Amino acid sequence: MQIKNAKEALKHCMKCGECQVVCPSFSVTGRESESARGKVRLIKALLDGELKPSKNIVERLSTCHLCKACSSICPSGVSIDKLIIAARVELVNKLGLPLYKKIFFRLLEHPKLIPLGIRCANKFGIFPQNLTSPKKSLKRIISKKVNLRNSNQKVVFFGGCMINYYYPEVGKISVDILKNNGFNVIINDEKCCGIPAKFSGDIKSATVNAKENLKNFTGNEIIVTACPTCALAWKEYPDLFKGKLRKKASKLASSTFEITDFFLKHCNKKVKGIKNKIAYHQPCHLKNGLGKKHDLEGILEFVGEGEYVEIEDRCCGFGGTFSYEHPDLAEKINDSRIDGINESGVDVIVTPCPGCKYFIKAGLSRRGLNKKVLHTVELLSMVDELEG
Amino acid sequence: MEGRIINELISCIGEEYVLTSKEDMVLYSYDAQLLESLPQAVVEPASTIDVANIVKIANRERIPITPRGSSTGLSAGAVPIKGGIVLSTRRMKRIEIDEKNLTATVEPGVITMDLYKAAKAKGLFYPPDPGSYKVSTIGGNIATNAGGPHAIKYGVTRNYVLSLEVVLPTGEILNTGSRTVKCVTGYSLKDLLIGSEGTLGIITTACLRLLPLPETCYTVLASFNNTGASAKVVSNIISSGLIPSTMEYMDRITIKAVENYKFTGLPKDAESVLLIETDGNRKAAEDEAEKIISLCKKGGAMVKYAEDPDERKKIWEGRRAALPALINIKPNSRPTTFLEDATVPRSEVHKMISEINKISKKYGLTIGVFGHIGDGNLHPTFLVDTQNKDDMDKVEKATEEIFEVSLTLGGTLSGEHGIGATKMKYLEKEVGNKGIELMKILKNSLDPNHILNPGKILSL
Repeated sequence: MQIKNAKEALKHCMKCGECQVVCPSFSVTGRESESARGKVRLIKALLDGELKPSKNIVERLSTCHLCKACSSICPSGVSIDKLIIAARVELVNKLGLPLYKKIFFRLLEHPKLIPLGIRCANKFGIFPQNLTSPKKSLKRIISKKVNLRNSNQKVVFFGGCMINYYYPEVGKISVDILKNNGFNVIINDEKCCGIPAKFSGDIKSATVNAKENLKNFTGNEIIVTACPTCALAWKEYPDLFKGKLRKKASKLASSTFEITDFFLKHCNKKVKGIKNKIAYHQPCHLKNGLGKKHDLEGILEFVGEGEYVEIEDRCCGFGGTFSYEHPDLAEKINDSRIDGINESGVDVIVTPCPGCKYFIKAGLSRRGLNKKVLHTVELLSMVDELEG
Repeated sequence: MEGRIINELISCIGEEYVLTSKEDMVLYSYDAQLLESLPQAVVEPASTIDVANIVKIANRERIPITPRGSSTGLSAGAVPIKGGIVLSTRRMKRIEIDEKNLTATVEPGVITMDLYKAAKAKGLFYPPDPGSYKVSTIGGNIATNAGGPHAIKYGVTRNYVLSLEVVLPTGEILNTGSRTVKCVTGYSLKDLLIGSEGTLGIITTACLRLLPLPETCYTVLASFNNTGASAKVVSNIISSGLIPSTMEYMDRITIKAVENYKFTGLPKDAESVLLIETDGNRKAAEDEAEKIISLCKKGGAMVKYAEDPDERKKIWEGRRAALPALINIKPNSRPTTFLEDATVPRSEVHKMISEINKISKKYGLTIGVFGHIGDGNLHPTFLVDTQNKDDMDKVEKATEEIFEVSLTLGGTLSGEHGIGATKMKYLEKEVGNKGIELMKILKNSLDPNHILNPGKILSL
């Protein structure tokens, strides 16, 4: 959505405040500035000239990590997340980006610079575990020999940054399972999907990455990713372009799959194995962004005897750059997630999102809780192993 | 607002909890209707003492102060019409459930749904369920005497308030009512404060009555091929001594809108629909549901019913979608809704519906009618473009006529949304000269400087 189209969308907000029920940030502070309704009202003020672009508005709009929960329940159907992105783009155009974001997004545009970035991050201990050097990243560690049962259709596995640099093993397992099910799996050259830049309003950088990523595709591939946010990025690529590129992006968007969804549709179901008490954590971008609501019972068709414990849907609080911009807010949202997990008494949490996995793990270790957090594909691979 | 006053507020509750930026003022200028007005400061007290200290400053300096919960109101109750200070209760969220006395002691910022959940966790039940109960606060509910679909069987917020702690407009603290089931000591000041829309005092703590959680609940969906038939069935149900826990109504315009909005399985060719629930212990609830089903069938209805929570939820989806569906009925124009809540004695509901239809035709306005037919509280909802001045003039005239009809039928201007700033000019029609005069005397004696929520209920 462009800011000039936002006015029309804004008129549909009836200020009922229902968005506050599902907003993770609002649940922490209870302040109108954190609620979607408040942000929508600020955007209206910005468009009407009631308020001028300012640091205060930037700050207040920044406390949303675009989980899209509000858009998914808005009784009037307002795409609040799209309005917020449009406003952030406008504010970046007027006021610019903060320096650290400028550096970060340029880095993501230029993969050659990434090794340097990783060395710096590891040196200063920015992440709880060291980032993987690209030399060992997914493309290099997976075996290139493929089992060609369904060789006529290429499946491109799109790793995304979290998997390429932080959880390459999740990528490896994903590719293995796809291959074991007879798919001809390929890894293309890839760049960051562009979501971090887009969510921060740096639409130019997001478009650069999207364009580069599209270059590596003919348009006829199936894309599978083990990151719901990357899947969302691909689904939304068409919005960034016009003409031919838009056509190609649309074609690919319609054949982009989040991996759990893909498994449930296309892969052999193998039962029995896990006997743990397992909870399933629903990633926001899967549920609100892609409109898929898996529950572990569906996945338990694969794992048989595990005891499935239902836990309330709550956001993990990660939101990518959000958790660095608003660590306090992110931690409090995360606390509520960890509380829910802790009360359920499970020993394994399964989630199809590497970002959620990362942040839930961080929360558990902050609270001194000893529980396993698995990506869905890791759970499935354990079943394979147990079946021998 | 002068810097020294801001500084004094800051010294009361801390810098973090006094907002003054222009951006924040915009954020505290509205509720869920159209009228907006900017405050000069927003304060977020954490305790009764904080509230009292803030009110003392405001009273001394003659600065208006508007209490605010979640600002979901539909009559501008929490909109600072005269500017000044908005007092947000967001930090006052304590809930204590007393299982021995079946009470809950709550602070005003508690979200209604959170109280409902806390009570449910102990097998108890807080029945008042205003439409916005997931968002609204208890403080706001008490200040507006909020009601909802449960009113037909369980009454409204007032029926659950045992005692209140209130900060008066002068900053003094008043405790009124008692945690006991019975209490007849002097004038019931708590009842004066309930529904006073923040004009007489700021509620800082409330002790609320709870009930045992009903064992089960049945949902009945009855669809009729004419409007008159459903109104008659409603009156038959009530006069045969049955008390459903809710009885909701939707007219043809609403049903069609819901069906076009998203498929919910409502009977498409129905002229009107009733959604009726019974609750209590299994045998009683089942028995009542059976009797209601047979009365509906006798009245010519097609009937569906469910006890399973998931199935009940599905049936409810249609009713819950009513308002959003009406809003989206004209996707290409700029629809805005004006939701009214004129309420009539239950025996007059069918007359009210037919009068609304006449008014709709007279002005050429689309009016969808749905609402709590079981307690006579309908929501005629205008679908208009707020940018269109002609339409807006018509809405004003039609609203006035709806109020007239409601009063003629022995009803009231507002069943649950309150007077606030938006219905002030109609108030005298219902309460009369004397009513207004007495209300003014009360207001002036409690709030001589007109500090608390000025510009609401009474024009002074």
